[in-house]
Order: sequence, then structure tokens, then C-alpha cells
Amino acid sequence: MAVRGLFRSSLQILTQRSLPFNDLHIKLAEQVSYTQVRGTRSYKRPLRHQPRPWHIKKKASSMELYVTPENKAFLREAAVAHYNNTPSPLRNEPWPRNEYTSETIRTGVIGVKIGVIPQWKKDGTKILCQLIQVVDNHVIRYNPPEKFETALGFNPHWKHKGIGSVVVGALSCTPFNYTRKYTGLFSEAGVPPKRILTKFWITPDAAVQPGTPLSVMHFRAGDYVDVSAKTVARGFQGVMKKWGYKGGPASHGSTKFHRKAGSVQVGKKEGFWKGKKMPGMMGENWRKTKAIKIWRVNTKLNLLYLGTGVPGPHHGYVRIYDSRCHKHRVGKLERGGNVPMPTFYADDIVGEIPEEIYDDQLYNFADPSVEFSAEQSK
Amino acid sequence: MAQILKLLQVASSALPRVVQCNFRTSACLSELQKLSTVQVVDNSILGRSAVKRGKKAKIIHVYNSAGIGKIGDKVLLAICGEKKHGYIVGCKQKQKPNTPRFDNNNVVLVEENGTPTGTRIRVPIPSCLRGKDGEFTKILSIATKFV
Amino acid sequence: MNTSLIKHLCTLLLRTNGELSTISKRCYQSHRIRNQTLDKHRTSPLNKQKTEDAKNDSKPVTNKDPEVPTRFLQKNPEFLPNPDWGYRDQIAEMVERNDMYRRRRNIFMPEFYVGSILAVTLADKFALGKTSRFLGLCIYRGDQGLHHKIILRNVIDNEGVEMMYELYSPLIQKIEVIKLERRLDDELFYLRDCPLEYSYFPQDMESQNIFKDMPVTTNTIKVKLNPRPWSQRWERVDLQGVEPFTGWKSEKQRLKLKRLANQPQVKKEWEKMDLMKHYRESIPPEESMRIYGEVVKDAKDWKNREERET
Repeated sequence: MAVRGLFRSSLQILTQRSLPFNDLHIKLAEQVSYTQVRGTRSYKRPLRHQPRPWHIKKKASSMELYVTPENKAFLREAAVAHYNNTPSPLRNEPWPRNEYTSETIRTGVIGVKIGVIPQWKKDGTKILCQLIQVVDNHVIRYNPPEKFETALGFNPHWKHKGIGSVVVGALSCTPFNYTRKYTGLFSEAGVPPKRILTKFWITPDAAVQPGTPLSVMHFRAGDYVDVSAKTVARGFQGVMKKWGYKGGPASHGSTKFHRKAGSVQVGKKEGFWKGKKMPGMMGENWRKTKAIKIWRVNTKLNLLYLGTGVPGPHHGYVRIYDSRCHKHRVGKLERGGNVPMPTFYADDIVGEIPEEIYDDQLYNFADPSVEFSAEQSK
Repeated sequence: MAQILKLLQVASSALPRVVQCNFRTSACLSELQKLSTVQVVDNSILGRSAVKRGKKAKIIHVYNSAGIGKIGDKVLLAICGEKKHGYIVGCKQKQKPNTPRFDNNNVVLVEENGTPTGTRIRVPIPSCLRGKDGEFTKILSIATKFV
Repeated sequence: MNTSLIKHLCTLLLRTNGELSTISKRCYQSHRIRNQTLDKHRTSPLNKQKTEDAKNDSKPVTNKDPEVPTRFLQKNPEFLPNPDWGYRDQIAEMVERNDMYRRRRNIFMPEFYVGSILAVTLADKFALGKTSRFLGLCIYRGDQGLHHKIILRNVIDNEGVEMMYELYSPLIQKIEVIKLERRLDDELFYLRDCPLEYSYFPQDMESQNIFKDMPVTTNTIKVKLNPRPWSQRWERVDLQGVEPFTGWKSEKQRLKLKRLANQPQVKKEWEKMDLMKHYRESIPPEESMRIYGEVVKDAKDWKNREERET
């Protein structure tokens, strides 16, 4: 079954009508025409740089051309006052909170890679830590499983597993550079429009109310997380750098064949070998690293000290969520203590929050130097 | 100033003369691999005779998956027309913090059953070798100084 | 035109145009944020998680900042961040400095330079008394922040030995200065190619009587190089603490190497006039003064003297 005309019909909806994001996918599903085409087995996706049909246009034309600087400053102040006075949905009755089990999947947060810093363990070995700051994160929307299953981007393999989704945004902005449709997405949560949005899969027992802020206290020092991000972009690269091909010989009469791939087809009828690795744009792909340890947490500046192996460039966005590995899901319960469910709230701790939280094995710089006694070595 | 000069004079009298040589002993990274030359630092007769002849010992094989010798690795040597086993005891290569780096690549000769050929090691050896088990205890017993 | 004037104009231009990282290659990546924009978000009134520290960092630099003595700058060079604009971040640098302050309150780090003689006591699992002490000449001091390293060199049993220490490692128990002085060069790696007598110091050397704000003398000793081969091509480097080399194999060899050393692509004289290169590899004086203003304030709480053993 191939789907033709899907992209065009969705564009028509986006351009002609102004619909809220919730009902968009239902309307889309009504209008799409499914026609069977011979020879094509799968849904033909739009090209890489085209937006998906369910996306909303984000950026508007800048207002710098026709607004004076004084008016601009006034507008900015007015926007700040507006968003500070809008009532938050959290003032209503809070949603029920459940306990953490080994099968729950909680939300994640969006972080920014800041730099690399060395730390030492208590036995004197040096480790390198990736600093990640969690800036201004809020939950924008929660979709229960019934609703999430009908969405266009839903993977049918996940159908009966009871998985919902939560949309998280980071870095709030003034609304002047964004379209009205995009700013309308945040009206439910009562927050200013965010620079970046992502979606996390969660189980319904970890549902989070829209509008709740997410901080670094969502995680605990000593736990393990998975981190996914877009890798460093390296531009158009040849076959030797991109795929590790061997290239050609340096001498013995070879001309113009030093860094090339070998044959790509045999005979004229057969055509190119399908899936042959060719030169092209390298990097900027979504990659995930599993089970990275959280060594240290700074609650005042919202910093995470992760282990090495976080993908992406400096100052790149990363998605951080609980490790899906069975070992670490169970290990979280075995460590004891309370896992913040569905996330950390300010009322959870009596008294002040400690500024720095360390892992048990990590050396604190305020402590005296490490010394070895004769008993330790035995 | 005068005291230092005196010290230097005393020290220089005790030090060996520098022998001029017109060839490079190791590559720029100073990695220990096959055919790189090393210095035998124990007081065995073989090692001393090699110094007298002006022919340094050569590594023929490194018993190691990487093929590049580090501190504490076992190597096979060719000295004076003989094949001998030895252990690397100091490296010229850049080292990690808190481990010593030496000016020469030092090796201690060992018999086939694991006992060292000499009875004394002339140079200091790194103390991190104490963490190794097995045949190393015999070599550590003939060492004079640890760094 | 006067070079200093050009330099001044260039720096002014660059600063008014905004951050330099816009020039760098990595900017075409879509999934990342610029340094300047992130700083704006940290301090914006819409951000409800902002902290007081972030506010203070974005304050404009004024001339009222406390004056830092030049000697304080010279003896603590590691507090300046890495000047690579592609990897700079205010919060990360601040956090790293805070860790350094904490360590400085616990351990006494004396004043020393490349060329002075040090003795470092280290916690060692494998040593007999669980500590090891090494005395030697400091031939290198480098790297920024918590990465800061030194290299000590000495001769033990006619064998040259070098040890590299990370100054902020918790394994370090004590740092003593045996002799406080400077040499003519910033790095003394050429001692590897000199006779061993120049880098020999007895391990039980008596320490100099060092008092506060003691004048630092420069040792003007000139060492002799061994005959070639060397570990580096020293004929191409402008070394102050080395006597002119005489041990050439032949006159032909000397002339050839001299000719090669004087090639324009080896000398790279244009680098002296490359203002952009100089700007990229250094931190602007205003910013470095702001950083050291904080450091001087915190330095009052540091450990300034060694604890006397009872």
C-alpha cells in the first residue's frame, strides 16, 4: 500500500485552515486518499530537508524592518509581563502520583553540552566528565496511549504496549519571531514559546501535568542514563573517511584512483548494487549512547556531570532520559531511596536542597587529600 | 653558585662518558616494537659484553596483542648472536601522570625458567611494577631503587 | 602605520561585531545553540530557573574592578580558561574555578616557576611507606584549569628520570620549593639532549629559606648540547639558555642545516604580524582582569602556609 497525495493534502490543511495541534492528525486522516500503486511497497517519505506533514511552520518574518527600537523594547516588556501574569495550569488539582516500578518509563529532559571537566575518584584515578546544563525545561503536553496510537508518526509495533508521549520544551523566548500557530501550542501549558521541542515516550503511571518545570533533580547522582543527540556534522566526505574504505594504491601506475571506491555494479542490466555505501554528507545523524553514569549534580546551576561518550558538538542539544537497560532499571530500585515520580517537586524535600550532590565513589574537592593505609592494599 | 659548580664537578666525574653515535635509536614516538634497540640494565655478563662491543640489544618480538611494548611487557631479544627473554622496566615514551619516564629504554634479562640472569639492577625502576604478579617478584627482589 | 594602532582597531572592530564564534566552521550545524544566545537565555526575565551567579557573570566589565598585582598573575597562570572560542562557556569555566578554589583551601600550593627546584610528595599504593617523594627541576608548566600539569626532571643512578604531576590531583600530599628561581627559557626540554650533569640534583637537597614576596632571581646558566641526533631540531628554535653549538660533523652539515632553518616556511615571520591569530590564541585583557578579580578575592581563604609538623 503506497500513500500518494498525503503530503499535498496536509499542506492544504496547514495553509487554508488554522487548526489546533490536537485535532490536526484526525483531520489529516480523514482527508488522506489511499491509492494502491504497483511496484512500490512502502510509503514514500518526503525528502530529508522537507518538513514532515504534521509539523507546523515555526519561524515568522522578523519584525526588525518596520518596528522602531523603542517600540520593540516596549513590546518585549509587555510580553514578559504577559507571560509572568498568565495563570499556570498547576494551580488546579494536582494529578495523582504513583510509585516507581522497574517497568515505568519516566520523562527525560533537554540539556545543552557545555564542556569537559576532569574529576577524580576516591581511589585516585582520573575521569573526564561531560558538563550538561538543563536550562528552563517545561512539560508542554501529555498524550495518553489512546490518543498517541492514532497519531501519524506512531510506530505500529508499539501498539498494544500502553505507551503515551510527553512533549518537553526548553529555552523560552519572546513570541515575536514565531508564527501564531506555533505560539498557540504553548497555551495549554501557560508558558512562553520554547526554542526547542522534543517528545519522550512514557508509561501512563508516570504522566506529568503540562506546565510543570523539569530540573536537574529529576535524576539522582549514581544513576545511569541514555543520551541521544545529533552527531557532529562533517559536510560532504569521501568514501574513505565516511565508510572506512581502503582506497587505491599510491603508485604502481595508478592514476586518479587513490581515494576512490571500487566497483559499484556488474553488467548493465543489473544496475547499481542496492544499499552500496557511497560518498555524501557525513554526520548530523541521531545517535544514542546507553548507560552513562551521573557522577555529580549541581542543583544551583542545574548541571549534570555525566561520563564520557555523549554524542554531538559543543553547545549542542541532547536528550537525556533514564537508561532502558534492564540492569539499571532494576538497579535503581535496589539502590534504595525515593526515585522522584513522575518528576521532582519543590515540596518533596524538607529544608534546603543541597547545592552539590556527589556519587559515593567520587572525590569531593573540599575533602582532604587521598591517603593509602597499609590495610587498604591488602 | 660556587657550590652548584662544585656539585656538578663531583657529579660529572661519577657519570659515564657520552658515546657519539650517528644513527637514531628509535622513532619520534619512541615506541618499542620489533627491531628497536634497548639498553640492558642488569649486571649480567651478556649485557655488559654487549655494551663493550658497542652493539645494543634488539627486540625481535613483543609478547603482547598490540605489538608495542609498554612498561612491564615481556620481549624476546637478540644480543651478541643469542636469543634471550627480557622484561621492559622503563620507557622513553611519554607516560601517564605519576609514572616515571626515563631517558633510555631499559630491559632486564631473564632465563627461560623466569629467574633473572643478573644479580642487581643498576637503575631505578617504577614502583607501579609492584602491582604485577607472577615472575615479576623475582625481578623486584634484585632492584635497588624505586621511583 | 603603527602596529599597536592596527591591533587596537582590530580588537575594537571584533568586539563590536559580537562573538567570534560566528566565524568558526562548526556554525552550520542546526542542532546547536550559539554561546551568546545561550547566555541571553540564562539571564532572560522569562527564565524562571535562573540563579544569581548567572546574573553576576553577565555584568558589563567596568574599570572599577580590583587591580591585580602582576606577580599574582605570573605565579597562578592556570586560572585563565582555554582561549579556543569554539569551546568556551562562562558557566563551565566558573564551575571549574570553584573546584580549584576548594582544592587550594586544602593544600598549600607555593609560588614557583619553570627553572625552580621542587619536591612533590605523592600518595602511592605501591611504595613502602605508602608515599613517594621526588625532587627535581621543573622543566615544564602548562595546561589550563584542573588539567594543570608540571614535569620534574632529575638524574638517579646515572639515569635521567622525569615525572609528570597533575597539580589538582587529590593524590598529591605536599609540594615544597627547594630553590626559587627562573631560567632564561619558558620550557627546558632541551635538557634531555644535554649532558646529565646539568639536570642532577641530590634527592636530599636542603631547601632554601623562602619568605613571602621574596625577589625571584633568574639563573643565567648556559648549557651545552650533546652532539646530534637530538630529540627535536634545536637549531630551528631560538634558545636563550644554550651555548652556540660547535659539535657539527662537518662544515657542510652546519651550512645545510642553517640554510634549512632560515627558510621562510620554517621561520614563519608573518605570524608576528597575524593579528587574528594573536587574538584567537589569547584572552582579551578585560576578561582576564575580570577573572583574576574574582580569584584575588577568593585567595584570602587559601592555605597560605604549610602546617608545621609536630
